[in-house]
Amino acid sequence: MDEAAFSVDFAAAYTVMAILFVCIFFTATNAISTRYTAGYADELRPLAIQVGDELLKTPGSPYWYMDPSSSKNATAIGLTEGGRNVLSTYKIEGLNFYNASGLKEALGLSDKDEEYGLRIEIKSLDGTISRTYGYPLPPDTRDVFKSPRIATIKDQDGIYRDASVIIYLWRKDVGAVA
Amino acid sequence: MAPLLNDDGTVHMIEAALASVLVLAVLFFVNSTAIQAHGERPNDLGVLSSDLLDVLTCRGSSLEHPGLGFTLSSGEQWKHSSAALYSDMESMLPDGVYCYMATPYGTLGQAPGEGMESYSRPFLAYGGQSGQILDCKLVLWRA
Repeated sequence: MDEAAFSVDFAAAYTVMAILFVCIFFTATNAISTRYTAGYADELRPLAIQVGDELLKTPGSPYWYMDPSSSKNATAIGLTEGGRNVLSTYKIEGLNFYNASGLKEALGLSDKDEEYGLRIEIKSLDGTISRTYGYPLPPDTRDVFKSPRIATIKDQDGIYRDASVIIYLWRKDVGAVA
Repeated sequence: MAPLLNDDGTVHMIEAALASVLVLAVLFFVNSTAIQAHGERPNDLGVLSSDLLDVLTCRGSSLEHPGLGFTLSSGEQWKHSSAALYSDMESMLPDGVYCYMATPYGTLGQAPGEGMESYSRPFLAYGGQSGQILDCKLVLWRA
């Protein structure tokens, strides 16, 4: 038996094995962390639906959208102009009175540790209205629950524009890095 | 100089190849069991169907964008407006979500096949000219 050939082949074969084991380790740990992260995001589903229902199904407290001082005294904010899922352009613009933290607080997500992140995107399907409120989406985590909703926007001329509303909700410092 | 591959070396290489196949099989299994990071789960179809029905019911009606009540006001109106109504429904739904509506006047869209994720929402509508209460159903589904 040729000992030199045996050593070279042995080393080559087990080098390939070692590389494959490293690959499987990283892939498996990534898959597991993805699974846990999806679980974290999924836990936010009821909260995201609750936020969406408040925005799309209720008018909010009277005149919260008129000026910044009214918005500070709002007990609830809702975007409908009366009918469920029929949004008022005035109220959509009224969300500008809130900064990201204030919007979160107005929607009942206030937390001392600033744990939650919230982003709301409202876009009419014809492209004439596009508004975004809240925090920017975190670039480095997958722990974001995305709740797509359907609405229509009644503009000042009484024209209805079908729209999509997307609510993003996440918890900071939780989840896997993308 | 000794050859790099002799009979004994070939055996080692075959062993490594077999082990690699086993490792790749495990790798494939782990990948296939991982669930998606961003969840739009089937019961979100229930929320979307509620939204869609509210929009179709509460928004104003026009020739290009008829409302649900207007479309169901009579069989004749259904014939004229149902295609436009269905077009609006399709455009409002997120990608990959489809709709099917069953009414006494007829159906819209394609019904989901066996085993597909779906959510069925029954609803009642006023038949307008006929004065009847119509028993209808809206189904959202994913392919």
